Amino acid sequence: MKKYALIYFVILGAMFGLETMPWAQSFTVGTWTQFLADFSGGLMRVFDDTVVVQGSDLRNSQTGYAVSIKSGCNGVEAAMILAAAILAYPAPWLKKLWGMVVGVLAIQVLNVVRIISLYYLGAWSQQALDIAHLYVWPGLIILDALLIFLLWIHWLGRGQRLTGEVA
Amino acid sequence: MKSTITRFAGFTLLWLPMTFALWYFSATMHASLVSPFLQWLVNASYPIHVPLVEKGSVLELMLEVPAAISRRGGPGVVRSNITLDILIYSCGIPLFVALMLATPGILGRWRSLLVGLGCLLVYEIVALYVSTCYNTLNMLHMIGADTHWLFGLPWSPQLNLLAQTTFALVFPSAIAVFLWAGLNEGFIRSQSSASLGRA
Repeated sequence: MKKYALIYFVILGAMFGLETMPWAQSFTVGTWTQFLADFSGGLMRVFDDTVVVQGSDLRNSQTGYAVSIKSGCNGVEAAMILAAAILAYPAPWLKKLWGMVVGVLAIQVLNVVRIISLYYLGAWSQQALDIAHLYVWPGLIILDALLIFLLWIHWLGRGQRLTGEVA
Repeated sequence: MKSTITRFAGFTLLWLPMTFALWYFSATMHASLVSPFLQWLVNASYPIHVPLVEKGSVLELMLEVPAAISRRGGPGVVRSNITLDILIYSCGIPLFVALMLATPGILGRWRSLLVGLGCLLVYEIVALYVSTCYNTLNMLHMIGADTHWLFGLPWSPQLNLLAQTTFALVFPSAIAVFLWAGLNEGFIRSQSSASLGRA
């Protein structure tokens, strides 16, 4: 466990260090955040045609109310926490890759739910938006990462057992 | 074994509203607990005395930097208030408590819970202090002062961004999960090994 924790924090530290580099910022804050805004806005327009996307802002075209997706709100950090946990775990590389792809996707799906919920919460009450944005959702996203990791190691163990039986 | 994870997730989500409400509504008491430590740390390390005022769950540090070190120079001071919401830095507490209460078969649950809460309080004080430092550096940079005035630290936008992202956004809730994982190694191992044994 100590060795795992050490490897985990080294990988995580390297990932966070890389994320602050200007080129990484231009991807995570720029390209990825823009994609999230476009994707969330596109989903919301299916049932709410007042939503427009302006840069990384989701805006109500009738009231002018808007929420902005910023650095730290794009699920990248939670994805890195999960990816580091999977990378540090002793497992075949293909299974690590599979776990990271599915896990990061699951985090991003929940993050889109988060963005949409915050938009409508904020339109209703600024206080509710603050509570959900600053205190509730960070915990839920990290809980999601933990549960994905637990399911992944469960799946990993089952796979190892099946391989053992075939051998 | 997947049902163990489902049950664990379900119980965590059931406990979470209760632990969250308890934490949220005791914020003022909580602020009183951490503010003396923050004030002591800041005043022991800063080159000037920085008064601290508690406003509910918000701590306000009143910074007065000598104008002589700023771009405009001259006598007097440049005033700036640093506002810190303690709830942001402690939002891992309700998650940690919910995780601990939902984990099946922990030996010494209450002792582990207290140890974890103690660690989270220490983290919170450190994170509040780090936030005070990077807010001060941002302020010094904005007024054109030499940032070496604070502990001889150079201005680095990357370092400030890293400190802000990690200490205020990511770690407050992530640290709760790290602590839970450290205190429940057996439960995590069982997710892999029990499925090995059962299949």
